[in-house]
Amino acid sequence: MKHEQAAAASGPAVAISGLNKWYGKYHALRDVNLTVAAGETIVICGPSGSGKSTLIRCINGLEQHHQGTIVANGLTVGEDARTMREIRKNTGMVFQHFNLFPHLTALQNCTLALTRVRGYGRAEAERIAQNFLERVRMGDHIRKYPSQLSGGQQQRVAIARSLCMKPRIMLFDEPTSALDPEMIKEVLDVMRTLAQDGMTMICVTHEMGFAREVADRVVFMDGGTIVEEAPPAEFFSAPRHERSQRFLAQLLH
Amino acid sequence: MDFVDILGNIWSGFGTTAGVVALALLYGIPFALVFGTLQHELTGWRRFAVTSFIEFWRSSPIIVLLFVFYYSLPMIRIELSALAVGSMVLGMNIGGYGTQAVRAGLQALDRGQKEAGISLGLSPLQNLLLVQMPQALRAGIPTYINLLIQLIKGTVLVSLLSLADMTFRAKEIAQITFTPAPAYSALLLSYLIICYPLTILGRYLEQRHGSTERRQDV
Amino acid sequence: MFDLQFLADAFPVILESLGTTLWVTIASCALAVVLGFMLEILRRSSRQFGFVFRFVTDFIRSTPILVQIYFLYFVLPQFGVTLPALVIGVFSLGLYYSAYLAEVFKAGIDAVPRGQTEAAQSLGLRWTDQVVRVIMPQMLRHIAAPMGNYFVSLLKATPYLAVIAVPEMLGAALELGSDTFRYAEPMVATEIIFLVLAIGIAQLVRVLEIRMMRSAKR
Repeated sequence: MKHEQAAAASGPAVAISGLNKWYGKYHALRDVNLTVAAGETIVICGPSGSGKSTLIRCINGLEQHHQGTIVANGLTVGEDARTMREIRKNTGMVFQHFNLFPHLTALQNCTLALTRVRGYGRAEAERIAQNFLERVRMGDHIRKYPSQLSGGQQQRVAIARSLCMKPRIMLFDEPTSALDPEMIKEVLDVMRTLAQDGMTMICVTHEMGFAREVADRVVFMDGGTIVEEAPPAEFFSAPRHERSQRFLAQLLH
Repeated sequence: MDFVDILGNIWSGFGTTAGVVALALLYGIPFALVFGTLQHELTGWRRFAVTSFIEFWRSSPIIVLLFVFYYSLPMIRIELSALAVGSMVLGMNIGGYGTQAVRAGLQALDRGQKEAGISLGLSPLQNLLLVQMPQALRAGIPTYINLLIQLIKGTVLVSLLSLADMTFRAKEIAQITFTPAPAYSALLLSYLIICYPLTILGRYLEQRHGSTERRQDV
Repeated sequence: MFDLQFLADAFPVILESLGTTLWVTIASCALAVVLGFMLEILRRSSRQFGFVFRFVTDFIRSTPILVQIYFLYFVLPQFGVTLPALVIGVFSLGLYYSAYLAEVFKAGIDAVPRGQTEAAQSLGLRWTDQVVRVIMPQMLRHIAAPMGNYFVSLLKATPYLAVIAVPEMLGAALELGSDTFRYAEPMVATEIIFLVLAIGIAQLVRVLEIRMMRSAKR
């Protein structure tokens, strides 16, 4: 499609400028500006209520913004339903609570969008799905239902489900917050591999170890604005703002 | 006959409608309370007997049940007025649904409540009356309101036994004046006036307290 | 005196109309499902006029079905719409129960976690696929039992259509009664048939419900 070619050629994967959002009277996002280049891994952190989840949910239209623009892969968010579907085709989202479809097997969870959105035939869709499920090391469980899988396994299937669509951007909304500690590592490993393979990733997470090792940039949000943005080395060793310092102090306790 | 006259005429039948409702409740409420509790407490063949009795009243179509009793009772020498038969059948039918609500309320009750009562030395009967029932009943209020609405709507059937309730009056007017539209519109309006506030009330209470069972009404 | 022989003879006569009763139930049920679903979807998606659809369902549930049947049967012709009694019957039953099923659909849709819609949206699925492939399969578990119960209620409501001369079972029984001047036996026969049907189907619904709970994937 014309759009896709244009997007591939031009600049940043995601460009957010002047973003504002209100929940009634509550100003949830205040003048947020953020640019994410293709292939970059961004970690967004901050205290709860800082607007970090709201921000990434605005990118694929799960939340609607009131002012400002978001351009994802050359397409503007919020224009119309058709554009939104196009954006969502190329943006993957991984949720805190996995949101796997419980009535479908792992394989079917992955093939649903492949057949209904990308238009693949069933055999081809299953081939692609199996490939990605093996990549997240769930190849032995493709015919299992979510209820038969552990949290970590479900989340990996959820990641595979998004990857099958061959997205240009992957959004992660606290992907390990609902997992037992033993399972966090397996999910972070998958995410690390993804980042190393060059995927553009925007992750909201509390996993600072992951941020330190994998992120190209750390974005710290508080009270609906971006307080500080820096490469992890800088951010963790010498945070410039008082609020960032306080946050880090609490976290690294 | 203009619309207001029609309404007035229909409402002259309100007394009968209200009377049927009141009388029906006299059957239905004790039935629901006693048999609902019995169904909750009993086991084995006794429970089966109770359940069968309840199911008979609950699973029958009311209109058929009405005719059954209206025509059969005289055969065993029981001569009851249409009002008496109608009220009894409607009452027992609603009571049948009521037993399920009472039972659900008792089941949903925290077991700890029953145990607390017993630990205090209450007799089983006192425990039931003072501790379990009040809570079970309070939880079921939205359901009971729905059943009341169901009962009020059910009184329409007594018009088929020639009882002069609101529906009977409306039919009369429709037949006499050859203009069914105002008569039946007025009738719809009349029931709406009675039942709509109850519907709203029921929904409001349900939202506030949550319901203990899925509403299963006619 | 009650004539057992006549009772036995009445069964085949009444059962001749069983087919009509059954297919009226099925047709009305199908209509109720479609209308009910539409009502709920429309209520949900319309921010300005959602309350209108809510009022429509409240209106239908606050007025007796018999009155609605009378209204549709007698008033529609006044506006030039003359339909056979059967059609009016199916339509009124379907309309009445659609209001109840709308509530069932509401509860069913609400029972599916919001995250499911979000995941489906995030994958780029269009609205129809979201509903048909993600929401509805998960809804099924929550709506199967209530819908089964309303099916039984619908079945028990078909005798109301006797008042507009639809050839279902109660109508057949009334005809038999008026031919022989003995109403009790046909009524009892009808009652027995309905009891068997209602309790039988209710049991089936319960078995289905248990099956669904067992194979619940999640």
